[in-house]
Amino acid sequence: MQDLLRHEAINVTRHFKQNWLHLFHSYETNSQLNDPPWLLKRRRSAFARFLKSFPPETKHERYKNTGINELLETQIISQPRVLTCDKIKLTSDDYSSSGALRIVFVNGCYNAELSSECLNTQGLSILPLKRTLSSNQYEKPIWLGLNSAKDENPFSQLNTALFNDGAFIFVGEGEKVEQPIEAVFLTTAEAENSIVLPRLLVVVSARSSISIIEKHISISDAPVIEIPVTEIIAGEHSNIEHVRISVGSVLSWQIGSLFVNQNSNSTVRLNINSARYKGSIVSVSDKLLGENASLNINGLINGFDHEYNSAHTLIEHIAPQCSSHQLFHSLLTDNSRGNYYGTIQVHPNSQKTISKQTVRTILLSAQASMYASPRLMINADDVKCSHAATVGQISSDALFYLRSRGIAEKAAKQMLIESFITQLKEDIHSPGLIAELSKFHDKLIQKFFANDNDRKVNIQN
Amino acid sequence: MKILTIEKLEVGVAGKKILKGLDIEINSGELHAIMGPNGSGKSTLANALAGYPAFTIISGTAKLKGKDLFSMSPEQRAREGLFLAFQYPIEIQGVNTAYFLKAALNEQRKYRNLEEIDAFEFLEILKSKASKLGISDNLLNRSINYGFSGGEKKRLEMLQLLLLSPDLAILDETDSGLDIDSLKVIADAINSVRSSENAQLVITHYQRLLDYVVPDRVHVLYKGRIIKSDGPELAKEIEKRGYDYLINDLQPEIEPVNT
Repeated sequence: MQDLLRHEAINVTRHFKQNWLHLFHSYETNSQLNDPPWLLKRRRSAFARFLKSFPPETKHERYKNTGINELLETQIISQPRVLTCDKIKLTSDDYSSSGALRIVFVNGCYNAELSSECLNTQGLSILPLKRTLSSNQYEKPIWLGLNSAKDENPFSQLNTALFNDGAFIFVGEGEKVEQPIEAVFLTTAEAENSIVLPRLLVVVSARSSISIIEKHISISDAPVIEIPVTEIIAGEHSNIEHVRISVGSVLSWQIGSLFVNQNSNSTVRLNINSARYKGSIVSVSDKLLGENASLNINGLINGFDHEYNSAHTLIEHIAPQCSSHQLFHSLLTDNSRGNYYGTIQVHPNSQKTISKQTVRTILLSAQASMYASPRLMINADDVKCSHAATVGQISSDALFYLRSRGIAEKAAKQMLIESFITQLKEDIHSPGLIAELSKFHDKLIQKFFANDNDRKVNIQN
Repeated sequence: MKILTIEKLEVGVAGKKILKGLDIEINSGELHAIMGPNGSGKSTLANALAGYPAFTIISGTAKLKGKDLFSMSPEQRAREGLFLAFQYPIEIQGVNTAYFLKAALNEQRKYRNLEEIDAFEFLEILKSKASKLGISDNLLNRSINYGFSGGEKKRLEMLQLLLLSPDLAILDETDSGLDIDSLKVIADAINSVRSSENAQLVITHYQRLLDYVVPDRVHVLYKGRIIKSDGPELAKEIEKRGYDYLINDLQPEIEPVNT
């Protein structure tokens, strides 16, 4: 009986892979992308890596509490489908944005109607990738897929292999871009039972600065798996603020990856948020390649009902004298599950590294659960590294202190939760980004304190 | 007018009885001091009156201006005019101090059918009271007690006392760990709120604070009971002779014998 079951399992796995193989071949032969040869090569190698590493080892602790098995059992995984851009009707009137510089994609395909006018200047380019790839004179996107090439996560490889289009943001040397740039990725009902593969490539040249808001928003309740990949190249002495906000829907999944390469003296501040998915995992992988680079990641893990919400990080200190600070706050209620699996890796010779990771969790119900695994791998002897994880409930002492001043219990709890969430935006300086984060936080707080009937508060835009 | 009336109060924590039948009556215009050695139940009394959930009221009553305290939530007690200055003020990272103080004041005003104070007016009031206590604007813009020194924490408690002007202020060892200058600031704050309309209950280990804040009555608490009550001279006597002379006078407790 056991043998029979194992045989069945292998067959199923093979069957899935055949479907994926079929998908890739038809995609390749269609060659609708007119990919340059270097990209085609990267796609093939990424697909080979995907086949090798898919399905992922679900028993690994990085997948504990993530709901990955539920995801792998969905019909979308067994019968994969990716929409092609020519088939998409661009009718997303539901979304409006105040951002003046924005590039919008619907189900992974560029939407000119919703985007601001494309920019293609020496100092700043905001373009759909497809357009830059098809014009051979444009070499800047050569970075595409380089960061993610050796990633062991099959999902990011899948994106490289099959993505349709994406946003390309390029900042020239010495440019200080004051206005925040919005990259918006919408999924609509049309993507029902499909895989959506958005891509964002940000190249910031030396001595430049930019603030970016990356939004992923489901504007329908259709079951969709979104597998976005973001790559950021931070040039020497560059300064980047990047806020990522993802808002899904009850049947949707998001398995996202963010790759950052930091050159010397670059400063990168990331802020990672996702909410309302059936399940979401965001993996951040940052390589500190040049001396004196500094990284700051703040992230919010939150969950309601039976949601899964996870964050994985891999921070590689490859050069000496770099610093990285991570602060993740996790707030879970009902039967939701959270996971933080983060690794700081200090390579040999990366002396004078300063690295810290902190994970704090508040569980608001007896059924909610969090799995936090902060890990340090240190191969240099002159470093300051620390990690900490706490899991608890709202502090009864803090609650009593506020109540003893006349503040009602519910208001006091709200005050404490609010502070727990809003602390995460303290490292972001761009007013535009702070405003977007505040909007997201406010709606989330409202949802945490809504009555059961009012729980369906729309926390999209 | 009777501000606080405690009768036969017994309070326990984690299954252990701490207060074993306590009676105190404080009239308006009076300041009472409770003294006693470590572990006598002084902080238990303060926290039980303020409504800290870990303490269980086993028996007895406590009335604030004739109203039953123990049937009220901690916030109701505060709105009815009870204030506890914490022995160890709680650090709350992320909650702005000024924002919290405004919320607290307005909650209490709302309860008393008074108009809420707007942000501008509130800041004026706050700054004038804070300057009396030597509290900087910078401190008010930080998280509640977060990273404050011991003295700063106690001053913030006094700022809340000035701001909320309660009918009954319970000060739980507000003088502990303070240098002489801070002690005087704290004492001035307490004296400035004293009036014929309200009352204070000052809990302390030492006579030191009572040099500046003169009590109308001093109670000595020992093993959960008041063993002596007298005028302000009692505090001076204790300073001179310690608690031992009072404790030695006590009749040994008769343990019940199981037969």
